[in-house]
Amino acid sequence: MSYLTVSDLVRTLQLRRQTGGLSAAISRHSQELTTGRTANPTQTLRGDYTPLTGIERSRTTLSAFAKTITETALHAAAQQKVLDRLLTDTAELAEKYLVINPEMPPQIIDKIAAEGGAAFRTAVAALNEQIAGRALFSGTATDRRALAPAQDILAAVLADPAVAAATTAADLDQAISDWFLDPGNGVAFLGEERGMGPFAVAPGLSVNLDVTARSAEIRAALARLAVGAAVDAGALAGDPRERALALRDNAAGLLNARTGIVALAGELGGTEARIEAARIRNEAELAAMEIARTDLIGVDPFEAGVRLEEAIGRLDTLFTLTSRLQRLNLTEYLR
Amino acid sequence: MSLSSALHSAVTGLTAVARQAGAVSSNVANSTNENYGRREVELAARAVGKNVGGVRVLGEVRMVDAGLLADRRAADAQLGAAAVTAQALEWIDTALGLPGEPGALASHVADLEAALTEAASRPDAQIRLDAVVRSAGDLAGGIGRVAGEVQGLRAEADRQIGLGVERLNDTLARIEQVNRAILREVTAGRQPNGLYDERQKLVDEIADLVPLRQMERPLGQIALYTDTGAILLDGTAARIGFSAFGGPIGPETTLAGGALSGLTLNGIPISTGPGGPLGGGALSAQFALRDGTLPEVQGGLDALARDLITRFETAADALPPAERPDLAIFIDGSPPVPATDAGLAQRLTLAPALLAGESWRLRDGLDAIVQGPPGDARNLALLAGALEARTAPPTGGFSGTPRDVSGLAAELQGRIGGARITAEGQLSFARGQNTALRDAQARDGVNTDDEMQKLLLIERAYAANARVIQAVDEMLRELTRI
Repeated sequence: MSYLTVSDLVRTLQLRRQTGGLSAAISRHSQELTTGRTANPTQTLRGDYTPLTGIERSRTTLSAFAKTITETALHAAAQQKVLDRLLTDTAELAEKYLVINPEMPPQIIDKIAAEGGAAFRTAVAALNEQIAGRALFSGTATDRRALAPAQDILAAVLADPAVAAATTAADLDQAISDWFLDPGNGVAFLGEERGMGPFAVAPGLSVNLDVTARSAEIRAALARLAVGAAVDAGALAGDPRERALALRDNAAGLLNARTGIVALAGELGGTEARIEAARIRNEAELAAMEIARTDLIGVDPFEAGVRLEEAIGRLDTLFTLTSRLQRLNLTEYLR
Repeated sequence: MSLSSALHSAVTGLTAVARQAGAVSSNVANSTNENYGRREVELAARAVGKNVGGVRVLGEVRMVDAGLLADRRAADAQLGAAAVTAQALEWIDTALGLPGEPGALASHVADLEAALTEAASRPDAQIRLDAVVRSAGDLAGGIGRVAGEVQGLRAEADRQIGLGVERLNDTLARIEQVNRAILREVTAGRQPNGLYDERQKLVDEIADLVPLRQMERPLGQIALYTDTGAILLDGTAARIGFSAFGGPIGPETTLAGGALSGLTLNGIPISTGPGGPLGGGALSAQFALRDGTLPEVQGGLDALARDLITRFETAADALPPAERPDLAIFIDGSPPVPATDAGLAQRLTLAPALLAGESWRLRDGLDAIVQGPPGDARNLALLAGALEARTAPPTGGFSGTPRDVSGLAAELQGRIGGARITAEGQLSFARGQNTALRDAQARDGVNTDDEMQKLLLIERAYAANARVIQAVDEMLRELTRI
């Protein structure tokens, strides 16, 4: 016999192979349908994981940046509120001081001085505030208070030889200024000079929160407020005229100090704006990363569903074919 | 031409038809046997001899296409080699993990970056500093884990080579025995078709290990050669020597170093590379894995580990020496003597102070005497910067383009992913070729419809011959009755 015959085995092997292939296709498509992601990422990416690595890394680090942004923005806003309060208080106090004239009765001077003392204590308390367990104005020493308690500072100021020896309003003002502006003053200033940071808020972008209680502008403001508190606590005792003059001239000093605080608030506002811009940028980038990731390894569920239906249909046809061909042999007919 | 010669011819006809029926029944019985060569009976008319007339059975022929068989065996060897390589690379790729999945190497790197960023936001938070230590530990552990898998695959390759060599030696010895049995049958004038089937099956069993060529020798014998001409069987079977390592294999256990065994053919050492005497099949693919591909992957991981260590050693180099904190958070856990980077991936670990729980040292420096201000994020920023710095490891097969850690890990994974895709492509091509050749070969097999048709003819022929004998018998009886 030299004509061509096709053995039984060929057909069987082919049918088995095709059944196996279709079953594998069905399980692959159903997996893609339920997970929304390709079942064989390596094939889809052609073995190049670099884009996917970049995308996943961005997603992880962007969520870390988001946390940093929330915490840093909170801290900056709290600092800004304190600076605001300082500005308001100094303005009010300056107004009160401006109505003084040295001919007023001593009791009235004393009452106004008391307000100055209260303002000083309020300012010190405000600068010692904390938020979320961190001191606002202590710099990197976030576990320590920024300033000593108001009465301790006042006691130390009055004990200072230069202050004790002052006899005129100008002398008192100068002595108190020198005391506060002394860079080595460790009695009043307990925090660190170095501000907080750097805080990474976006890829390649860091911000610092540089305002501390040791900043020159804050020291100047405290010095001015301390004059009123010192008068209230008994400096220039027995000389009502000098006391009145000290308070009245302090008004100008307070307004001067205010401009320094305004500059600090402006810088802080700039930092807050940068943080907010980073937040918006990061959110947009995160959304873009999600889309890119879907583009790379995602699978359209509708398409996966259609392919699944198709494979199921083909397997159905194959089973029908197998069973029909099964009966199509000579042995059957010779029975 | 006489009655007696007519009788004689009918008898030969019966014999021939009986032989054909035997062939048909053997074929039908073996219709599902893949290693069976379909039997066909060859007939010829009796033309010479004392009694002219009748049919002569020349013999039973095995219908096997030798060329197709040789091609299919070559495809078997290619498939064997491709399957070995593709499977190993898939394992490594899976161990490295898909970026974004928890436990993947790239995810560990990203998690460390995120942990450092969050710790820099709240350097006073113990929990965040601990998270950095944990992420760093996960990264070191992840690199070590993948390197461990690589060495595990090497040990498995060594074991598979041992099993393969044993199988090869045993099967060659058995083929030699079958050859001898065939010789006995052929010299006695018989046709040992069953032995031919068995011998074909035995040769097929080792076709995936080495690419074989079968040469015919007189008296039904065969000789086996490899593609490159090494003699596996010619009269006597060759002996292939190999000693399996038998224990866990480490990066320092190499063929070059003498710890791992190579191959010997009849006692003479031979090359184990793909161009060597036994190259081109699954056996040489296992050697390529054990001595080439997998050590390269280990080298890449070692280079990555060294790069990590160096980055943090130099993290604070921008500062003047007097102010530089020690930020080397990754170290070689047990440096060998003499110093070598081989196996560094498995030895990579965190600095002892961090393992002891002093996570505040991330903020204040590993050599700090006391804890510093809790809000100081500068060193944490330097640590984050170390991860982002762009370097190019000099060893390990990296391209030389400076990248950050995430990029280096992606490059390493990309190399392996690319090799995997290539291997899988070769595997699917080899599989397709193998399937096509198997189908072509199977076509020569038994078709039961055909055998049934032959059986119809045989039945009729037998009846006709028997009828002739009956008729002649009657005629003879007529004669003697007179």
